[in-house]
Amino acid sequence: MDMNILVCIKQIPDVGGKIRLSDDSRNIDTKNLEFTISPHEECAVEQAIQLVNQEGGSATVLTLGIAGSEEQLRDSLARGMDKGVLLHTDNNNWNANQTANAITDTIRKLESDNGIFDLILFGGESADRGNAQVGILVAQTLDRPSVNGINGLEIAGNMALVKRDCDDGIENYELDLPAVLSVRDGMNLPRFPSLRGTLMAKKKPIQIIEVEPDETGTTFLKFERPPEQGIQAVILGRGPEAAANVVQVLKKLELV
Amino acid sequence: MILVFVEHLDGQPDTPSLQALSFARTLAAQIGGSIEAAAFGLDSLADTLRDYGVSKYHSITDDRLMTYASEAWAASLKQLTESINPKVLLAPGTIKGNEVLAYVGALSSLSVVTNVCEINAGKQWSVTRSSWGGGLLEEVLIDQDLALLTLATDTIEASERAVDTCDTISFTPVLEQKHLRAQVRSVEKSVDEGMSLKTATLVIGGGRGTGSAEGFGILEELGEVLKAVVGGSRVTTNNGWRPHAHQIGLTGNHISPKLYIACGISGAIQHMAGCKSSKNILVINTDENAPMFSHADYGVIGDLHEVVPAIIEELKNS
Repeated sequence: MDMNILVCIKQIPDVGGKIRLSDDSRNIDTKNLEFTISPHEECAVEQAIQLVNQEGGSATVLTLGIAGSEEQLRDSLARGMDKGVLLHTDNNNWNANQTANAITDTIRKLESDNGIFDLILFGGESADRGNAQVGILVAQTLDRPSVNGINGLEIAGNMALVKRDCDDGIENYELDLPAVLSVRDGMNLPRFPSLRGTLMAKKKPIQIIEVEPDETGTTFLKFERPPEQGIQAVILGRGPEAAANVVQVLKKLELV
Repeated sequence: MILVFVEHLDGQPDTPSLQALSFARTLAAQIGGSIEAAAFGLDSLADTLRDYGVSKYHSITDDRLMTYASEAWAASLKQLTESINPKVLLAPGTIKGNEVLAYVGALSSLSVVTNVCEINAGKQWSVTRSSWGGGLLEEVLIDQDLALLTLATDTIEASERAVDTCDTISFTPVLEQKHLRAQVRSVEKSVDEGMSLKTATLVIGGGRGTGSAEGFGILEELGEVLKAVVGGSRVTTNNGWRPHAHQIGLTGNHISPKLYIACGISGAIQHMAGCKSSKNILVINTDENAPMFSHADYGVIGDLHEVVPAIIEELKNS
């Protein structure tokens, strides 16, 4: 069965060990930083590519973000997605409802042109804000079944067989397609873009749509740093000579 | 009044739910009113809930709700809030808590703030939530008659403060078939594999510095000597050097051992999200400017491939 799949991703800065904030604390200072997407989303992209390779069909990747987010769409196209959609905005501080509304409007337009998406995939939660909301909001507005944070997916005819790890065990779901699923890291091992894929990605189409946030009941004010732990490591030594001191620490903590 | 959605395991509220009840008390101290709780499929929770300050328990019952169904649970909670009018609906920030509240928000056209760690309830409500896996905090203003919140897990410890009585009130929701389109069909019990990353007293983690799957051999050897569990950063699971189930980090296991020995790990924010609850951290890294050193209690500046064999040798001799 040919599958028409949409994957929604989000550009985030690769912050490393410390996050610097802008002067007004409303943004991450991204000077000198590279950009990436969340681990969960890399697995969503991989899942879509695998499914289309198995079943046939087409995989579209969508993001809402500033102009530079096109880089992450190209990266997904290089991995094997077929086409991209950029919902362009100058402002990165959209909340989950605003994001979901803009994505839902776009999905309706895309579906009226090209037919419905059998599967819409998200990451379980973004690595930055981590709201874990957008997939569910989109599913509800489109009136489709949804499970958040899944660890396994199989397509059987017109059904999605879904597994999710929870505290009490592994849950099994059977959802009718079309469905909206958000996936968790570890469901597959995401491929890296090949050189050939990177060259081909340059020719793949990216549709750009301008979007504006609407008003909602919550407003983002600013970021704050968590209180500093104030820890600075006691240096036990350099190289193999430090081994004796390490063993002392293990003894002090009653671990040997 | 504050309504808390409670999840339960083996007939008792789970820890994140008890934390949510404790958090509800600090919130009630700011905005006044009582604490009520709602749960699915269990009549006999009132005694425990009373110990945690709950004065009314709404036991939501429907034959179709014996297993989890996100939309049906959310539709039921929405109907309950419409009937009892709380100012806040609070849920634990678990997979299910976040999922159910997202649905309540979607069904009620209200916004949800997930992973909250602090609330300043004044004329306007400002809420602090955990962002970037705990690496940043985010301040959010709420302008809704009903605040929908989930509590970041382990923000506060669960603590008892009993009230005199807790009445159990049965609530029967009105459900449609479509509310049950994503319902759990079966649950496979996870097999207990002995010591796990989540429960181990001593954890050894390998990062980019291990260099390869083979590079983990020396960490495994130290693990055997110390009876420790070995895990890896996302770089190592993403490169296929370790299975994903061994990942320590935001999108892997969250560990809380007595000692975490981090080898060849730089200390990216996503990694810290998974290991910050460790009581002690010992880092072994060639780069003394690696962020990991500013999160650690002890450090060794050096190559894990030289330092770890020396530690094993020292342990065998002592």
